[in-house]
Amino acid sequence: MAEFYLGENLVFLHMTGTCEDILREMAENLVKEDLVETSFVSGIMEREKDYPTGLPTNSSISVAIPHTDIEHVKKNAISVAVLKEPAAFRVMGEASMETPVSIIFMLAMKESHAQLSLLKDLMTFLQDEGTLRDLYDSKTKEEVVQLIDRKLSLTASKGGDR
Amino acid sequence: MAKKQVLVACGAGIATSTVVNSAIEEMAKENKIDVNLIQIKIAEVQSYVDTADLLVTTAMVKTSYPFPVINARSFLTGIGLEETKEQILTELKK
Repeated sequence: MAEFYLGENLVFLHMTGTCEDILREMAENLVKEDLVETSFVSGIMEREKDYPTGLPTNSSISVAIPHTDIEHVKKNAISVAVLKEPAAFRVMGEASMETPVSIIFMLAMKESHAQLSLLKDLMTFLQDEGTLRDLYDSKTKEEVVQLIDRKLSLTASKGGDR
Repeated sequence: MAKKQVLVACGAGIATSTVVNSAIEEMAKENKIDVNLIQIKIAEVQSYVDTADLLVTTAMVKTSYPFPVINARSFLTGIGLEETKEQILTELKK
């Protein structure tokens, strides 16, 4: 199974800004960490404009799962941001709807169709209000990494181990 | 009953369509329906316009197609999932 990297260096807490600001900062950080190509940044921005990824959930915490084409990615990784104030994201599949997003999972995927278990876990994660709330209330980046590691099938991706 | 060709599409054709594809696969199996699932990017739908029976997608659809289009966001959020499944099954059984 595909391995996903997640470390504290990919976690953002109390982030502020607009949808665009936040996506750019997260994507540029993935470039800096050498997990994606420079083109990943524009890939993410364009993709979000054409095919938005905001997802309203059963709870008051909406989530976004920005991602882009595999050719921009060097290594499978997941970057997580918890926002201080919700940012308006457009809703996936709805031209004119927005949702106030508080948690962002930016996915860098380098193979298509290979991450089913991770994606399924991610969907289970965002359908579980308690888990979302725990993530939202995380005090440290370490807590975020531990929580996600516990809930998603990232396999051998313990923080720092690349 | 002829095997239905079902397109499963999202923006990138790698993330959300993977989840939806697997869910429909399971659903078809449970209901003993033989279905030909094709996972693509929404931009590729045009190539299947003559052969497809149904499009299930998480992306916005701006074009009109000669086959029904079902929004699949509920597979991700769980909100309204039963209704979506029902809609898909109805189409598959036609």
